[in-house]
Amino acid sequence: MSSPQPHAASFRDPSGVVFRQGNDIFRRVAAPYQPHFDQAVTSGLFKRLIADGLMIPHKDVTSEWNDPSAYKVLQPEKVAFISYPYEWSFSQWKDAALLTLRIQKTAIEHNMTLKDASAYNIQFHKGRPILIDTLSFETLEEGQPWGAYRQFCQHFLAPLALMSHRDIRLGQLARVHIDGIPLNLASSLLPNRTRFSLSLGMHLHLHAKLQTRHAGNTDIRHTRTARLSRHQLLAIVDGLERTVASLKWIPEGTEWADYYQNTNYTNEAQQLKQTLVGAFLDAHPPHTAWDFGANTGVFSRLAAARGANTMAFDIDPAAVELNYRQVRDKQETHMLPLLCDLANPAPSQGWAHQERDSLLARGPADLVMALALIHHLCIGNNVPFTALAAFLRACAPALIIEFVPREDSQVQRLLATRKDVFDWYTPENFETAFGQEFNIARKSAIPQTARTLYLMEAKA
Amino acid sequence: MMLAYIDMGTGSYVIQLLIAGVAGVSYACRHAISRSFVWLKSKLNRRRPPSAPDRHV
Repeated sequence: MSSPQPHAASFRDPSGVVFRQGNDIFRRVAAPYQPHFDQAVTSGLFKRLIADGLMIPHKDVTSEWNDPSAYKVLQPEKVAFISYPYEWSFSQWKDAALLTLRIQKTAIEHNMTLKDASAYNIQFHKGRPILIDTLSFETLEEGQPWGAYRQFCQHFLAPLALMSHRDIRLGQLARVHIDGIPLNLASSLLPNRTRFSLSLGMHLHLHAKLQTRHAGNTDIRHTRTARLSRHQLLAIVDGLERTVASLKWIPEGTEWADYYQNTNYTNEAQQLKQTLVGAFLDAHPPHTAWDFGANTGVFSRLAAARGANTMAFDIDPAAVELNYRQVRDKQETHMLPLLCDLANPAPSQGWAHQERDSLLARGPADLVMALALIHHLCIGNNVPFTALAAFLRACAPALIIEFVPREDSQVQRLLATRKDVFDWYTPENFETAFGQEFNIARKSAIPQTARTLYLMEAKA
Repeated sequence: MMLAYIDMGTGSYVIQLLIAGVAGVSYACRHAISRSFVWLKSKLNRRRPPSAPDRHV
C-alpha cells in the first residue's frame, strides 16, 4: 500500500516525512536522501546512537509499503507523549541541549553532521531525552562549518542563558518564537555581565551582532571560502558543551517548590490520602495518566508505580525542576514532569495551527488527577465548576479529584485577598456540575481534613 | 551534497570562523596537555622499580 499523507507538521525537511497510520507513526525516507541514510547505516552511526540510547530505535518496514517515492519506510519506537520545549524545566532543556551536542560529536566521528538542531527533535522517552528525528544527519563536507549552529543557539543556548542569568520564566519566549529565540532579542535581555563571558559573549552577543551586520548581505556568501578543519569543528561543539554545562539554575524561592513543607496536612493525613488515591487508581487502572497540579510528583508516582505513563503537570518551574531531577536521579521510566499553566495551557500553533499540538490534542489520557487543585482554578481563576468538569472530561474519561471545601485553610487564604463572590463554591454544586459529565464511582472523606476525594467515570 | 534546508546565515558562518580560531587553539592545548599527562604517566610507571618481594613469609 502507498503511504498516507504526511503529518501536518512534517513539511520542512525534504529528507522525508512523518505520517500516521492508526496509532502508529512512520517515517518515509525520500529517495534523494539515500546517500546520507546509507552512510548513517554503513558508518555505524545509527547503530552507535541507538545502542547508547541517544536516538529512538526504528524498524525498517519498507517491504510492507508499496511506495515508489520512498527509499525506505521506518517505524520508530513510539514515544508516550510529545512534549515541547516551552513545557520543559531548566534541566530538561539543558539535558536536551547536551544530548544534541553529544550526538553532533558522535556524528562527526562517523563523518556525518547534524543538519538541524531543533529542540523539537528531542523528546523525553522512558525518563530520558532522546533524538526522534532519524533523518537529521547528512554527510560531513570537509571544511564546512556546522550548518545547524545558529539553530542550536536559538533553540537551546539562548533560552538556557536567559533562564539561568535573567529569569526562569523567559523559557516561555519559545512559545512565541517557534523557531527559537532570536539572538538579538536574547542579547538585549541578558544582563550586561554576560557580555564579558567569553563563551556567551561569542556564541550569543557577538553572534547576534554579526547576524545583524550581515543580514541581507548576499555578496559575502560568495566569499565563503574559509574552511574549518574537523578539529576546529569539534572545538566549537566542545565549547558549546562546556558553555551549556556551566549554566545553572537553583529551584528555590517559588511559591510551590516547598509546598509539602508548608501544607496544613499532617504526615498521617498525607499518608492516608496517598492510600486513598492508590486505592482509586487500583479501582480504575490507567495506561496513561495526567496529573494536574502535580507539584513535585508525590501523587503522580502512585500512578507511575502502577505502570501508567504519567505526565505530571505543574505551573511552577521549580516544582517541575525538582520532579525532573528525581526522575533523572532515580532513573524513573514512567514519569514525565512538564510545565503547564492550566489557566492557559499550550495551544495549537505554528503553520496552519498544526505544527505544535495543544495539550488537549495530545490526549486523551486514560485518567486525569486533580488533587488540591480545584480551589486554585475555581476561586483563584474564577473558573466555574461546569467549565472545569467539561475540560477534565475532554482530558480523560476517568477522574480522581479532591474537593477542597470553603472552610479549608488553603481556601481561606485565597479568599483573604479577594472579594468573596464564590457563594456557589459548595460541595453540592460541585457534585451537580460534575454530575453532568461524570458518574461518581467512589467518594471518600480524606481523614483528618475537611476534604473529599472522588473517583469519577465519564458518562456514556 | 543535499542542500541544507536551514540557512545558517552569513553572521553565523562568520562567528563560527572566529570561534574556531579561539576555541581551536584552546581545544588543541587541552588535548596536548592531556596527551602529555598520559605520556608522562606511562614514563613514570616504566621507571618505577618493581615492588619488593614480601619478606613476611
